[in-house]
Amino acid sequence: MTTFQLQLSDLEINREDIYLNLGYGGAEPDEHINQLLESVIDKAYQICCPQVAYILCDGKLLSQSYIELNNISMKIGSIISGYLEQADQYAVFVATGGEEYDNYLQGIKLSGDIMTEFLADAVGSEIAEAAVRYVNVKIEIEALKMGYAITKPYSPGYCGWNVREQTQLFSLFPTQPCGIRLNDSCLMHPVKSVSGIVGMGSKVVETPYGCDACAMQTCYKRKHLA
Amino acid sequence: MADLNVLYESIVNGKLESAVAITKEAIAEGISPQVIINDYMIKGMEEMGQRFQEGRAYVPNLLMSARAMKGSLDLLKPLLKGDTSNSMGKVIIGTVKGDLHDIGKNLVASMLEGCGFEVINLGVDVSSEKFVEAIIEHDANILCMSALLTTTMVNMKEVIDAVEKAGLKDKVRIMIGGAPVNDKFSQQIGADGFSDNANSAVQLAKELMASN
Ligand code: B12
Repeated sequence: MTTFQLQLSDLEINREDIYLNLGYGGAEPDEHINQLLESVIDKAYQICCPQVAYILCDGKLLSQSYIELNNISMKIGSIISGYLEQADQYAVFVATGGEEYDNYLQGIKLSGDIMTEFLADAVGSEIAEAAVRYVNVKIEIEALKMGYAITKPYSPGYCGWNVREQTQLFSLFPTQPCGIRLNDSCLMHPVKSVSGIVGMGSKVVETPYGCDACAMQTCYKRKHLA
Repeated sequence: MADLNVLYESIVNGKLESAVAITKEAIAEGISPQVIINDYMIKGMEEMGQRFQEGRAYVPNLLMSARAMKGSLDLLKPLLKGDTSNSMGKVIIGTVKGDLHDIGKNLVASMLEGCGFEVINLGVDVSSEKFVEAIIEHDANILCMSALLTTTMVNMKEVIDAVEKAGLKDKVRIMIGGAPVNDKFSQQIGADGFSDNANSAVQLAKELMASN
């Protein structure tokens, strides 16, 4: 397992993505709300310790919906299988905003300040997504060394890959990679965490996410990803 | 004299300090709490909801307004003792068992509170028994449940079954929400309504209270 223990300044935090998380669509917050938001972001830079990890796996697609990685089989569904079809190798990853940020979020929750809570939650989601982008760059560097390209990352809970399968994905890692634990419903602690898989190969192409493949018609990210 | 139009503006613009200041003035001048609440504060929240619905305001604006509203309501509540006509209704809200997603539910709770509902927030990972106990203990009118995952939203049905078993189904209206939930699912499990944002959740709650 390759692990990176990071500071927030190692990640690229994107303001537009945070505005999107806050429900602004293409718009921007007014000055007062922006000030509150910037103070939450400042705090995040002080306390947040994101971590990411990945492992490279040999694997093969067993059928239209199953994949086997290091002798562990997972039902990823036909949509994601399709995207991974050309892969020669795989990387599985976890990425987290870390325990410190989660504790900060918990503290705000207890204080009952819903405005700061909402802002800090949206910032936390962007931190997790920025950590995913970071680990994907590291995976791409590995791929390039082998003369491979990479696919987009795909996660349990998306496109017909049941979130419960996260148990199998985690079994590929040593216990609690980056301090992430799974609860009985297969949710991760710290909350601001993401897991997933990336395909690597000489023939793979990076297919953009198809919102068409997703049933969530009202998703606030829909048109922005398409 | 307290300019109650400024109170209305303060609610719309989410200005807590000025909302509180004018409310204090109005109370000192002996203006009826009912007038302050119904003719100015609720009107302000309604205007904000309308702007949100039309895409002219965003969730953070709603929250600022709800915060200003709550600040003023907290001053007025002690004056309403014994008079329940100004409570929109009692709401129990929580995220179902196995699920830890908080933020959407808290937004809904906060908006309901800002709009005059009494809200008891049970937090996350709430079991059927806890929901039922809370309905009985607080004599609630509405039960709100939230879920983030397809794997946990099925627990909403369990809660509804438990509510039915406890003989409370006719007494309490049930609202659900969260990313994977939709109208069809709401009907399937026997809930009384679904909404996909905190603003329409308030409208739904008002409708359910009216139909009770
Ligand atoms: C931001 C986000 C994340 C963030 C933060 C997550 C968190 N828990 O804090 C990050 C990037 C970390 C993340 C990670 C994951 N995520 Co995620 N995430 C989202 C996303 C884009 C938005 C969720 C959100 O915070 N919305 C903002 C809040 C304010 O909205 P809301 O909760 O929906 O609440 C509103 C309404 O629903 C409604 N409402 C809510 N409750 C109630 C209750 C009542 C009574 C009423 C009337 C209304 C109501 O009003 C609220 C306010 O407007 C959704 C997709 C989406 N568009 O919703 C996926 C989504 C929830 N994630 C999903 C998944 C699968 C995951 C992961 C498991 C992926 C992975 N394998 O890594 C992980 C799990 C993380 C963990 N801890 O275990 C799936 C879940 C689907 C499923 N299969 O069950 C979703 C739906 C995406 C998808 N596939 O379509 N995620």
